[in-house]
Amino acid sequence: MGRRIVSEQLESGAPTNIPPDDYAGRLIKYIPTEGVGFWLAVSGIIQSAGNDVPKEGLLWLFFVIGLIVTFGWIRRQTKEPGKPTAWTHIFLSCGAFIVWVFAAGGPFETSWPSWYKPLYGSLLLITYTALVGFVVPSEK
Amino acid sequence: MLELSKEDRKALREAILSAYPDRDSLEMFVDEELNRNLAVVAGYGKHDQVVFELIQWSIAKGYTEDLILALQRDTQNRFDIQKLCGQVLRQRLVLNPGEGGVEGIYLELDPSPWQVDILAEDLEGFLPLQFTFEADVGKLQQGLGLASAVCKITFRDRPPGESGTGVLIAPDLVLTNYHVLSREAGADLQTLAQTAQFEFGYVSTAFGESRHTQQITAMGSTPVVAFSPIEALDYALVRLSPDANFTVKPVPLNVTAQLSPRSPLNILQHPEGETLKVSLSNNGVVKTQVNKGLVLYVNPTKRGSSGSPCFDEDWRLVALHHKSMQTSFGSLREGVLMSAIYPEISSVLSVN
Repeated sequence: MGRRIVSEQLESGAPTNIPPDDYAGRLIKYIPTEGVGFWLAVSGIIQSAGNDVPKEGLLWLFFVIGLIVTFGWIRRQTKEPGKPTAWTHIFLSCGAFIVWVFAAGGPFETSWPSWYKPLYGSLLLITYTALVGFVVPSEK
Repeated sequence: MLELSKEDRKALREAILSAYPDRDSLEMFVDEELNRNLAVVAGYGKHDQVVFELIQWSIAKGYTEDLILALQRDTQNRFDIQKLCGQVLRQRLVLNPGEGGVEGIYLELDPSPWQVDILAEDLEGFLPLQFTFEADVGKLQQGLGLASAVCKITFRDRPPGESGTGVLIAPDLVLTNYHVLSREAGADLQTLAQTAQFEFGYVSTAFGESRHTQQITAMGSTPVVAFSPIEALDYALVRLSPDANFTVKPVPLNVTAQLSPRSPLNILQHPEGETLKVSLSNNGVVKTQVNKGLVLYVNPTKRGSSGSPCFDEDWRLVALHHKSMQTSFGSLREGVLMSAIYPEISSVLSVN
């Protein structure tokens, strides 16, 4: 099964004709589990470091790295010959990465401790995750 | 329906593996005793995996008893398997088990008066309410009478699962999708069609009865008499070489149909290469896009349904099914309207 979301499919018995992804299938494919895993590991290491390292700067740096990696990885994973770039999928996955980092606190919590509340992150994560599965990419 | 515990399933799998240690013997058993094609029901792969898939298929399709009875019948000299089959079948019959096979089993019924307690929880399993409708029996018979004109299309040089559906629209002309023959634009359809087999009458039979199908091949070296690529109308019209015994009548066409939303649509199809299925709806049409020659509907289909005939309420062919698609709030199917295809093939049909 490819990472690219299948929104329509011819229905001959050819093995390439996998059924289109439903809500749950789209949701699973939109969430960049690799990027989120990368972030959880890296942020844990940074947060556990001593006060002699610039945590805030490192968190922002690796947040940007994670975002770029997610962008590149999802673009690569959704690339299929003869089909347009899956921009909708790529941007929604990058959005999901940002939301996950925000929900986990990350650099947002460190940079704006007075404004950031974990509740906001949790609510945003639940809402984004619930809604993103409804989006059917326009790139066929 | 017989329900197997995980121990039963494991024991049954081991029994089948022991009785049919290789694929060839299992293939013969499934063909001769169950009248099925092993590759279709269980696919290919390691032998123990194939046996596992066979059992899963029998459970999913409600053929577990048939499978066990067939196994019992085919292994008369294997006491261990006979014993296992007898034990498993007893659960179904709620019997007082006797020694030996099922022949020695007798019913022990409680003759107390009927008194069945129904709790709300018992009925919850039936929710949500299934889509039901009243069908006119005469119309239904009319539709089922057309079933003989629908064929399963397979290819000699492809796996059995790589199938499609076609429909006879003239005495020797089958209409199907272009992509059933090939997904590539500019493919050599004439050569591909020559490897195709058109199997008429592929319907389920009572257990133990043999199926009478008619396998027809394409005519000559240029059997594809008309076609349109996938991006356009996605159809291929193939001329067959039927023998004198082939008396199937073609389906009637409706080439002027203006299907309105929520109007009836019925599909005869071979989903996943299985025996012929009918999908009925009295309000299945979602919308038509006449300028594109397309109709959208909600009737369920599966892989292998491409090329299936879509009929209107009078069982006249109005569209050719070819695609499934997802929307934000559910799935849809798409067919190509006969009103779009007919102008391109009318000259061929008129010669016929």
